Amino acid sequence: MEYVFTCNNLGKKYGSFAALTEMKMEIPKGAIYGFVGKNGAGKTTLIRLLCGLQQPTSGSFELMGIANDSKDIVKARRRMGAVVEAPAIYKDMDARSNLIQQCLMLGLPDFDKVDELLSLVGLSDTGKKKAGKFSLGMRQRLGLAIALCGDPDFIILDEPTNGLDPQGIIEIRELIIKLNKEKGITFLISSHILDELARMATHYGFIDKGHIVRQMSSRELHSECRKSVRIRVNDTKILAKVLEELGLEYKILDDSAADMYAEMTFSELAKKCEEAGCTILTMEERDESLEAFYLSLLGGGDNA
Amino acid sequence: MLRILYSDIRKTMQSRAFLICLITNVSYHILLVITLKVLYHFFFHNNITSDEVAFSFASIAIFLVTASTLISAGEFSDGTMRNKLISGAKRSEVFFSGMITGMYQGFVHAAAAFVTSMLTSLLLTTGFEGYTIPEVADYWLLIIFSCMSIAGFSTALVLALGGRKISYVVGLSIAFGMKIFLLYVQDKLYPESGNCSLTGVKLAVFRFTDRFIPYSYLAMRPHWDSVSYILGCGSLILISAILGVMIFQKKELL
Repeated sequence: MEYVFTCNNLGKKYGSFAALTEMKMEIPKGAIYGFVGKNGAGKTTLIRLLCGLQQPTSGSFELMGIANDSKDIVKARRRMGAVVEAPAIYKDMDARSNLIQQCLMLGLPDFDKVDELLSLVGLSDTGKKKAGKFSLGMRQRLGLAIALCGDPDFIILDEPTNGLDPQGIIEIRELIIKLNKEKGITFLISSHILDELARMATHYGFIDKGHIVRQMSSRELHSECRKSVRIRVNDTKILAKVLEELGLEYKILDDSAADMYAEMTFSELAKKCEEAGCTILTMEERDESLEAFYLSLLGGGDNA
Repeated sequence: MLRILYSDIRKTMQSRAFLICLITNVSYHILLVITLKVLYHFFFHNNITSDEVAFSFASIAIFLVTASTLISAGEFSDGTMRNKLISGAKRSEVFFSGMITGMYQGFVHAAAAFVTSMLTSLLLTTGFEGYTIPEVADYWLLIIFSCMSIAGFSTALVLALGGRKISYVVGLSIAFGMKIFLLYVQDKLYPESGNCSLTGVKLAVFRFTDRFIPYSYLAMRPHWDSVSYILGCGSLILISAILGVMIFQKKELL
């Protein structure tokens, strides 16, 4: 498999604090890579290394097959776009001027793409309005348009839907999927809106305490998200006893509800419960949420 | 590097902060001339000469140019520095482009002040009495070079400090400190009454400061040879560039 980014034992220290330790990560070409981790887990540090803002203290990485200590790494970075933390925009310029500015920095011969990009992110009607007066959502769109200047092969997005209204979130998501499918652009997306991430990511990387805990494809992730059956009964103590006898895994939620992590026919369970003196009120099949999976994997309440 | 330089200059010309500094620069001179003209007319029944107002920019140039170049710190806070590095520019290119843009700002401010000064001299004063035309030209050339070197130094400082807020404090403190120190130096070297009483190392240090530190060139009319001034301005630019790029290359940016 071809990768746009790989790192091997990558480490970054700030004084005695290790922000990244022996990190190993691969982003397959053409993937939408969901990058998930707690605040302070090391996501932004990795992005800073990728963008060349900081240098690793140990290990190495390759960007588009070029090693980080190679002189040609600047060429690899030209094939990248990024919106990290706040969108990087010139606040005294309008949207069009901002894009022209980026085109100039990239040394593009003309600005033909500017109008197309503005239209693509829905900013074509902003006229002479200064970017400093844009809403957060408009800034995000402009940041994305800037990242798209120069037809990059790899785009890094940090919280791309931050500050967007529901309509805007859908538009950005569809845009990312469209760019990924039609132009084959690889995305690295760090997002706190996990459900949103789950709608577009093809691969996931979970980072905790400066190293990757697990990498997986979305298919693997979905197969690992367990299915459960939520049962409402008149007495969960009796239900627990029945499930114990059947040797099934379960979790009591309250006096009247429990989740059962096993497949079993309704009639069989109902019969056993009836015999034990427990009445089943409702049964409903559920997927364990991706959020719960993240929490269980990273172990904490303030994840992502 | 030229593409980065061109985009930097374009950004600066559209920057609100730079334009405010430029308007302040021009307005200050016009207001000063009008105020003096009114005062002279009503209290002294006289007209002002160009000698009295033509070089007023020199007295505010240090602060104005320093403040104007501190704009480049916004490159870091706005994250646009990251865009530059991603766009394939080397750090040294980004640094030198930033420094040259800073020097360009110094040039624009000095040039704008020159044009304003000449126009107001022509329209509102009786003309030069104590200066010949070549002296006026020399003085303005010196102001332009000094502003460019101070702006270059100030921008290098901001870039070397990674755009942190401390760069505003350090930049303006240096400008303020130099202004006070140079007033003291020139008062000791050229006392209003009597001769200079300095001797030994102190005299050497004060003379060196007066002769080779560009901040002092803006304090009074030229009195050293051109080579000294070129050496002073050139050295400040060169030292700022070499030290600045060395620090910037290794700087951890956010």
